[in-house]
Amino acid sequence: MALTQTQTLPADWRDFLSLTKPGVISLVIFTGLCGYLAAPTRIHPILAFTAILCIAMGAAGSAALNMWWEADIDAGMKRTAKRPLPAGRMDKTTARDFGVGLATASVLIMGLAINVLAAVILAVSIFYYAVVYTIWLKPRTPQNIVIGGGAGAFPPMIGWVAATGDITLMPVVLFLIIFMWTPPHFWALALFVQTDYAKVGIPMMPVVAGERSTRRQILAYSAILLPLSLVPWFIGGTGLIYAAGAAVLSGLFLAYSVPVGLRMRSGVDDAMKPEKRLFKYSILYLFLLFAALVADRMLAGV
Amino acid sequence: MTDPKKSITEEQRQKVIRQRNLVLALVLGAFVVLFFAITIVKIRNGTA
Repeated sequence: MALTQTQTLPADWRDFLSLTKPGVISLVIFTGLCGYLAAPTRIHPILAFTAILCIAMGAAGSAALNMWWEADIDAGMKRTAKRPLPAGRMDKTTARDFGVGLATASVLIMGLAINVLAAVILAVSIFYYAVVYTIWLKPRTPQNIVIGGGAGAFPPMIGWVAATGDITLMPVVLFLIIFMWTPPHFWALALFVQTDYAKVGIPMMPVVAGERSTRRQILAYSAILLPLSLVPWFIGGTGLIYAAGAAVLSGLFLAYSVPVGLRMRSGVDDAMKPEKRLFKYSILYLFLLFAALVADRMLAGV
Repeated sequence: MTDPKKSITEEQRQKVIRQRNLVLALVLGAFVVLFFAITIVKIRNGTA
């Protein structure tokens, strides 16, 4: 073929994949699957697979819409500048259409194959993340993460509702656990990348309320998370295996939060080790907490 | 991933498009199989 010079190279499939934030999706799939496995009833494995696939597709669509809306902001931050849109490997319209397509398909398939309630909650979660959080709250209030954390808290609830077709206290508690986990998880990250957020004008808590206030709030949310993570056991939704796991994991979470909550950075050269340690542990925490929930349910013979 | 800033040839462009089409075909094929399986499950459950 002739070596003709052309203007642009079209986005390749890996760009579309990175538009879905695969790292976040893995956590969404895991918590959604755990919500399903923690439910007292089961559906056919093919339908269960479809439900989890729809949760993943909905999250992927939301992520693509988030990157479409924040392309200019992403371009100004080191952590996100290499994403397909700010790097110029994809045009914004393609990203928007990809996101809308994924989100719409996920809700339709969930409604037709699983149940309408699960589809409605999935639609609400997509709207919550793509519109309420990304477009409305994130650029306006330092409480963006607190309220926006609700979007990430939906997957276990959707997994549960896909299995049962019903909302009870247990999926609401699972929702609340992720809701309370999000601020300390994200603010730990925001503490060591705060210069990036300040540069692009995003009112993250450390930028607006200051570092001291953010650190105190991380500690407060971590302290609330400890008793909250035990509520599934108090209400009889789980057994002692989960209770023991939750007590240890949440106790460690609080222990990692204490040095973050009580210290201040020593200077511009501060390596921010306690903050980085808390951020890494917070991801592991959620995986292990939900794994304990499923292990408890499996060993109980449900 | 591809860097759009580098000068590219028609051959490279066609390669990217071919790869994209192949992935899209695989995804669509997987959905056809999934919808078929869902339909069979629904018919067996008497909920179709």
